[in-house]
Amino acid sequence: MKNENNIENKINQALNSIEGIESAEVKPFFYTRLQARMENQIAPSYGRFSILANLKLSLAMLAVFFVFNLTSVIYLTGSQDTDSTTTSAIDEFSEEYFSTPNVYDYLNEY
Amino acid sequence: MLQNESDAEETAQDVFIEVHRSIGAFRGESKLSTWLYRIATTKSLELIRKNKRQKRFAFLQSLAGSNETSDSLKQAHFIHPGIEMEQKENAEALFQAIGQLPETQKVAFTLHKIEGLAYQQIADIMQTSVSSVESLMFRGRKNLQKSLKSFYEKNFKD
Repeated sequence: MKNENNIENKINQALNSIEGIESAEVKPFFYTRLQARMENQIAPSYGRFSILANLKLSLAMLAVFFVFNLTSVIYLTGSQDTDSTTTSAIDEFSEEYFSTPNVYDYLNEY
Repeated sequence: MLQNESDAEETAQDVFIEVHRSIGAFRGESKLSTWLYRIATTKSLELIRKNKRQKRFAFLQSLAGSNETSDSLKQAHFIHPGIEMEQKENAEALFQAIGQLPETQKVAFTLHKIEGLAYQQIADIMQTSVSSVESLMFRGRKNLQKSLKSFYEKNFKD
C-alpha cells in the first residue's frame, strides 16, 4: 500500500516536473551552420539552368537569339539569287570533268 | 519532441530551409507562427518516423550479426535543457514516457505542456478541432500515467 502511494507520488512528480520548463536554446553558431547549409542546398538547386533563373539575362539571351535568327533568314533569302550561279559553276565543273569525251578513248582505237 | 540535440538542430535547419522554399505559398490564412509550428511538427514527425525505420533496420542488422548503430538512435537518457535542476530525474522518466506516446498525442502534449500553446492554436496547427485536442490531451495524460506506473513499478522492484 505504501509502495503504491510512493509510485502515485512519483507519477505526479514526474507529470509536474515540466511545469515552468524553459525553451531549449540552439547551440552556438547555429545560424552560421544554417547559412552554410542553405548556400549548399538552395543555391545549386537551380543546377545547370541557374543562368535562366536570372530573368534579365534570359530576356537578353532571347533577344540575341531572335537577332541571330532574323539575320540568318535575311541572309538565306538574299542568297537564293546566287543559287543559279552556284549551279552553273557546278555544271561547268561537271562538264569539264565528266561530260567531255573520254580522253582515254584513243586507247580503244587500237 | 525529438529528444536528441543533433536531431533537433537538423530539424530546425530543415524548417528554415522549408520556410525559405515555400514562403511564397503561405497565403496568410493562418498566423505565421501557426504555419511555422506546422512545418516544425511535420519535419519532427518525419524524422521520428525515419529513426523508427532505421531502428527496425538496425534490429534486423543485429539479428544478422552487425552491431553498428547511429547516434540519433541512441535516445536512452534525454533530459530537456530547459528543465529545472531538481526536476531532472523526474523529467527524464516523463520524457521517456512521452517518447512512447502515439504521434498525435505526443504532438498535442508537447505543444501544450512544453511550448505552452493554447488548445485553439494546437487545433490550428494540427488542423483539427479543439475538442479533438482536448481528447488527445486526456488520452495522452492517461497513457503517460500508465507508462510511468510501469516504469516506477519496475524500478522499485529492481
